[in-house]
Amino acid sequence: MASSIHGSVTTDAARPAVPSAAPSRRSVWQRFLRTKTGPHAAGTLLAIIAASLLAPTLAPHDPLRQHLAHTLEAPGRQFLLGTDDLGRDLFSRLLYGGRVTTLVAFVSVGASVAVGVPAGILSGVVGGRVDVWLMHVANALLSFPSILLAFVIAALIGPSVTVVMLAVAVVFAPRLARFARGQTMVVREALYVEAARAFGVPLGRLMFRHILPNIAAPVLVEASLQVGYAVLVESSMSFLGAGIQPPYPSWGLMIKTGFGYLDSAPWIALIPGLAILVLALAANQLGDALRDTFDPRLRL
Amino acid sequence: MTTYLGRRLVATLPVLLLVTLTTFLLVSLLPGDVVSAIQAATEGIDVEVAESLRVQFGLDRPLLVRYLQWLTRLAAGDLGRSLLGHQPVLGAIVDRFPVTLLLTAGAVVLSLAIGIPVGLAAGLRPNSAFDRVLSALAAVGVAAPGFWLGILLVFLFAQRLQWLPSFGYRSPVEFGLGAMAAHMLLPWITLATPRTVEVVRQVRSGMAEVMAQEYVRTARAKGLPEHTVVSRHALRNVLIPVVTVTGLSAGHLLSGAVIVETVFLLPGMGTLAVEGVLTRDFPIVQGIVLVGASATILANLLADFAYGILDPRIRYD
Repeated sequence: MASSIHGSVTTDAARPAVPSAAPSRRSVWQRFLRTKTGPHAAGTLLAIIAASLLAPTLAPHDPLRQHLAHTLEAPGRQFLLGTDDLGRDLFSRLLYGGRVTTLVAFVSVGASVAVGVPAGILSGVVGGRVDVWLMHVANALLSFPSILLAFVIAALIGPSVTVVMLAVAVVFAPRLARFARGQTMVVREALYVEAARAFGVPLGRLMFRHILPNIAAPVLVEASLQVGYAVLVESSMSFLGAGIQPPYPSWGLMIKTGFGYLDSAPWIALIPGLAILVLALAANQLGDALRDTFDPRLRL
Repeated sequence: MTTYLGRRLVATLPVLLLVTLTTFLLVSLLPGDVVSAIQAATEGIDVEVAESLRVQFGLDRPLLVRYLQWLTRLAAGDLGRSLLGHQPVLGAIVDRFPVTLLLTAGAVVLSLAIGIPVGLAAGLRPNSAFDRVLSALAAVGVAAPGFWLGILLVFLFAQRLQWLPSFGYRSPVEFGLGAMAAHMLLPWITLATPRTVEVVRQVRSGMAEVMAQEYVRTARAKGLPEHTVVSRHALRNVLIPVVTVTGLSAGHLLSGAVIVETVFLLPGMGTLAVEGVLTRDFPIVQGIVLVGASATILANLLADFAYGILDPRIRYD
C-alpha cells in the first residue's frame, strides 16, 4: 500500500514534463473555489489583513489613549468591545494588535521559506556529507521545544517586532528545510532532473529552475499550514512577556491583561483569544484547501 | 534490530553535540553576559570590578575554549549554578521536574484515553454526522491558543461554576491524590486538547484505511463478527503509529508545558525557564533549554524503538 502511494507520487511529479498534463492557471483557481473551506478561509484572511492595514482609519479611538473615567467598561455603544483596566478602547486595540500578529506570522514564515527551502533542496540534490550535516543541524534545532526556543531568543536579545519575527523564523526554517528536502528526494529521480544534470546545468539553476517549480505546490501548502502555527507561537510569546511590549497592543498581551480581570471583565481576555483562533483556523483551512486544490488524492 | 538500535544511537550523537553548541551559543552570542546581569541586579559595581569578575568567570577567554570547558563540566553532570539563588542548576531542575512530568504524563494519558475511542468511533463511520461534528471540533481545537484555552477553562470551571481550583499545585505526597488531581485537571485538559485532536485524526484516518484492506474483507468473509474484525485485525495496525506519534509529540508537550505552567502557576520546569529568562539567570536558561532538547531527542528515540518492536514487519537491516 505504502509503496503504491509512493509510486504514484513519483509518476505524478514527473508528469509536468508532458505539456498537456500541466493544469492551466484558470482551472487551478476554479478547483480552489470548489474546495469546501478555501473561499471562506481566503476571505477571512483577507478581511483580517485588510482590517489590520486599515486600523488607523477603522479604529474609533486611539489604541493607547486612556479613558480613565471608563475603565473595565462592558461592550457597548461608545466602546464597541468595551475597555480594559486603563480605559483603552478594546476594539481599536484589537485592530492594531492584529497588525503585529499577522505581520509576524507571514513575515517569519516567509523568511523560513526563503532560508529553509533552498537549504532543503540543496540537501536533497547534493546528498552526501552536505545532506547529513544540514539535516543534523535541522534536527538539532527541531529538538528544542519550539515556544521555549523562540521565547529564549526573543527575551535575551530584547523583544521588538523584528526580533520576534527572527525568533519565530528560527523555529520554522528547519521544518521547511526538512519538508523541502523530502519533496526534493521525490522529484530528484525524475527524468527531467536527470536530463538537466546530464546537460551539465549548474547547481543553482538546477535547484531553482528545475526542482523548485516542481515542489512549489506542496511547499506552499506546508507554508500556509505553518502560518497557523506561527500565529499561535507569536501570541504565546507575547503572553509570556517576550513579544510586543506594553503599552503597544498585541493579542497575546491583551489576553494576559484580561486574565487579571476574568471576574469583572471577562471580555478583555475572551475577545482577542477568539481573534487568534479565527486567524489560525483560517490559515490552517487555507492550507487544507490548497492541498485539495493541487491534488485531491495525494497528501502532498 | 540491535545493529539498527546501535546505528540510530550513533546518529543521535552529532545532533546532541549540535544541541549543546546551540545552547551554548544562544547564551554566549546574544547581547548581555553574566556580569552585566549581576551589574543590573546589584545596581552598580564599577567597571574594574566588572572586568575582574569577567576574568574570574573566564569570560575573557575565546569562545571555543569556553565552550569546551562548559562541555567538560557538562559531561560530569555540572550545569553550573544559578546567578540568583546560587543553587546548582541541576538541583533546581530536578526539584521542578516532577511537576512537569506529572503534567505532561497526565496529558498524554488523557489524550489517549479520549482520542483512541473517539477516533475509532469516527473512523468506523466516516462522514457520519458524528464524524463531521468531530472534525469541526478538531479544527477549532488545534487553532485555539493553549494559554487562552486554559484561561477559558479557569473562567468557566473555577470562577463561574466554582467546581475546581483556578491555579496552584498540591503535591500528592503532602496533600493526597485527590487534591493533586483537582489542581491538575484543568492544566491536563488544556495541555491534552491539541494532542487529543492529533490522536483522533490519526486513529480516524488509520481506521478508515485499514477497514478498506483486503485482510479485513477476508476476515469478514470468514463470517467473523464485526467486533472481532475490529479488535483482532484492525485495531493493532491502527494503534502502532499512535505510539510513534505520541513519542514524537514530546517537544510540543514541553512547549505546551511552558504555557500551561505559566497560566496555572505550577512550579515546574516551564515556569523555572520563564523566571530564568525574565531575570536573565543564564545558567538556569541554558540548563532547561538543554534538558528540554535532550528529553525530546530521547522521546523520539524511544518512539522509534517502540515502533520497531511493536511492528514485526519493520526490518531495519
